[in-house]
Amino acid sequence: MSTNISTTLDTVTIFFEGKSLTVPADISVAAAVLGPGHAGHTGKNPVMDDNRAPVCLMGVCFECMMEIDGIPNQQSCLITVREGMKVKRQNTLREKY
Amino acid sequence: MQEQYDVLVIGAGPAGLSAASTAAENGLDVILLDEQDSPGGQIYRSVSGKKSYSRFLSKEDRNDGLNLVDRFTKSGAVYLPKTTVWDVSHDGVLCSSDGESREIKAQYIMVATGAMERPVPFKGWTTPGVMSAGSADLLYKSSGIVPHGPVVLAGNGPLIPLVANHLNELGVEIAGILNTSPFQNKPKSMLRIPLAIADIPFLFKGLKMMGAMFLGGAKQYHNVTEIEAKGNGQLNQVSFVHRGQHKTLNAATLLVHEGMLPRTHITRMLNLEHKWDRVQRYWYAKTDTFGRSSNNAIYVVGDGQKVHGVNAATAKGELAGIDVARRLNVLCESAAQLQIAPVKRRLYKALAPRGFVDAFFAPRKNLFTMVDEVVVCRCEGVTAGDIRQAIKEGCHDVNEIKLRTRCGMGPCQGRMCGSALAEITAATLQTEVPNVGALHIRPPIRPVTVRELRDFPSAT
Amino acid sequence: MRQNFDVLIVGGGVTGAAVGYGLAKKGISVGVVDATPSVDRASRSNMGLIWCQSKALGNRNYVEWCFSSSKLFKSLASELKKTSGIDIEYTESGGLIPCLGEEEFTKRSDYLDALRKEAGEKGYPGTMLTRDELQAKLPNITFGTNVTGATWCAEDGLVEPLKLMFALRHGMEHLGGTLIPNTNVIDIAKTESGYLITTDDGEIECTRLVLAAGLGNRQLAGKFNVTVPVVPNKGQVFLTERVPDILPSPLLGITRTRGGTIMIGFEHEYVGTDTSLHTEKFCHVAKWATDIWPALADLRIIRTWSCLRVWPKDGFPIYDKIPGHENAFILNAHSAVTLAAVHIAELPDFIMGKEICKTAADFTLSRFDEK
Repeated sequence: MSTNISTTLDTVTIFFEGKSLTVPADISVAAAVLGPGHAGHTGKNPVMDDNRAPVCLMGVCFECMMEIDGIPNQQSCLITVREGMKVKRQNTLREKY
Repeated sequence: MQEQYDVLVIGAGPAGLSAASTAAENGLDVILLDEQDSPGGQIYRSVSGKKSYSRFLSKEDRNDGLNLVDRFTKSGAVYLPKTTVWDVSHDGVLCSSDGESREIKAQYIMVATGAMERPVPFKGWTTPGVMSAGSADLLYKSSGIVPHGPVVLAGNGPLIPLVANHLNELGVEIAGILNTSPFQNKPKSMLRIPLAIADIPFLFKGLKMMGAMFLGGAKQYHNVTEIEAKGNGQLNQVSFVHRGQHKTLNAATLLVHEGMLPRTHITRMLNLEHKWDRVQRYWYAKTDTFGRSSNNAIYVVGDGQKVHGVNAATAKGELAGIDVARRLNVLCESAAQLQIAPVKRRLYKALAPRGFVDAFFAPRKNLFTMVDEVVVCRCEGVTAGDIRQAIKEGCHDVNEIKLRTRCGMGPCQGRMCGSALAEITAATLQTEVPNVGALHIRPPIRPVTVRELRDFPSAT
Repeated sequence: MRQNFDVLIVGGGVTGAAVGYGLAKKGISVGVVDATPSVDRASRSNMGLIWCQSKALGNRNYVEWCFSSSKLFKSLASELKKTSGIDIEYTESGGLIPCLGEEEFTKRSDYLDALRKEAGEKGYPGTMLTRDELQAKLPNITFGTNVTGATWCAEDGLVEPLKLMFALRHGMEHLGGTLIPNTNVIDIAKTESGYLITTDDGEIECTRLVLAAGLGNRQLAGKFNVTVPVVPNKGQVFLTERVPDILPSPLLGITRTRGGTIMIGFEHEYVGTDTSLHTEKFCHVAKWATDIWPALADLRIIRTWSCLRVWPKDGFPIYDKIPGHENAFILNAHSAVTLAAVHIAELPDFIMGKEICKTAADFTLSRFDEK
């Protein structure tokens, strides 16, 4: 997933897996990581432990779940990028307690 | 703090926007809640945003979308974007925005949650790179991002040529179009053409789309079966059977589409009366022309009731808006009739070609005959074989199978596997889908944190 | 085609399936009729606790009955793995009841003392843990400031209740029993040699009849003009997203399944047969749960459900012959999961005409008449 066909728009910088990424402002996190981020996959399934990526981009499939600003299992297709946002792939179980 | 409105509308697509606008214009206190950050629904996603990637909509479509949004903005209805409704009762909803939940009450509730693409499991469909065709459409409409080529499109339905066209225009390499539609539909649908002629522009648009697909130069394969997405952790090939031969295409993205379904999570949670559409094979909430459901206080409007497309959805929303104004005595009967007549005409015009379209793009017979190893429930990793085994053990209702296999117990709450589960069960038991039950839907229909419940006003 | 069994059990939940399994193990021809999903089905909503501790002061037999069942679970789990192919995910987890505030700690402590006193020489396995001891037992959890400690009992345990039910049903079939699912009993008639059961899918004959239909027993027993003193008791459960294995022992009301989800729920309500979900109840439970374990607040709730417990009016099981019938039985138990193992071990002989074991001899129908 890649090509960004947008032009002349505001941008924000987010951090995907620690790397900074400049993306158009007000696109979804899922779009940002799939497009400019070349993420390929956004997480792993906790039962099958295989790579997953969004299917629907409209909040139905729950395959886009990512860790956003430390909060796991967020539906990245429903969340808009923000300056400085830290985004990580959802790696099976939540890590923090 | 409790908020109270005359009408609460869920969903800011064409139906929700026009319902809310109409009700508010007639003088009612209206609030509209939507998950997205800007109005328009999926079809007009981000149509009014400053980024406006909506250049991928045709000029007329974009104008229609902007007009809907504009009318809504001026109507005086309250708009609550980025808000997730997680429980609905006859007199209000519980919803969440920015990590906080609250209750909003209303005398009437209008469910306008639109449609989704029918999820159809096949081998390898959990591989990253496999997406719905509609998601590609949303991606360029809302973000200006196109899927990585080469792209293979597969399935059946008007969205395939539409998306193929757009991608082609945007310079994305299309490796092939796999048409899964059986020839069986064609003669049947021809019977419906006379009605369809009532909406000639619509028919023309569809034919134009299909015509343009050929001009795009992508290789098309008809009556394709056994589609499989291949790749270890990332899609790299799509294999299929065409004219008895196994074929393989290199692909970075596979876009699939097998028609649309009304999103019924809310209507089913409310236990509204539902009916089964035998042609399109989906459940829909039973309503009258004005969208009144089996529950006196609940309307269901737009494609979330029955998938009839954007023009019908807009008209249905308006009818509901007029009806609720009439019921709440801000609109007298004769004035209501004056408003109703032209909208009904528009609705019937929009509905005229649906019989043809529905029959032409009817789901094929073998849509759910997948082999045992195909994962059906993506969240819980339940295969078609697991489901068939549970049936063999005596589970004859989808809820019983869910308990036995965990199919439908994951975060998507059965949205992705529910229809496949019912179809597989019905096929295995050699019966019809209405005889195998429907998954129980319970709140929260969207995940909500324990904190939100703890901090909920009524808890303290 | 009319089916015929030595024993027909009406009700395929955990209790019916356990007794069916036990009978099949003895080589007895047994059928289990299970209704369509429209009826109340407590076995499908259970949290899977095998719970023995801190209950039933004043009924020493029931205490022993529970502990004896718990002791049988380990071998039952491995046996069911063989007979059914299903792993019931039994864990010798022990169980904890967390205490909020000093008062609750004292109350719990006093109750345990009373149970211990009642047990006398036999001893009672429950103990109190201070907050520090509780922390040592569950080192990965940061408890709320108001947590004062917990009760602990090593003999409590955990199973996956749905897998237990399906394993019992499946295992019974492997051992020669017959499951008749999706079938509703319409009528029961006494015949010369036994009973004739009319269902919505034909007739079944049997020599011995067992009513193990939970709340449904009330209606079925009506056919014998018998009142069964069980009432519906509503519970609501919510279940969160998956977490790592940080809760090896369940806190009563907060359980981690082997799959990783956390199940939360403890409320009991007498509200008739209303099973609608009430958010206020969930709010109340969420407050309680986060008071104990504040980090739970961050977890997202994936599913909820409610169900009606089968609640005999005094809380204790009913195992009895239907008055006037030598070969028809009523079985009702609230703790069907906890008692499943002892039901398998002890109830088949009772159904086949032997005296019930001494520990269970008081769990009669007639005890309700005396009051």
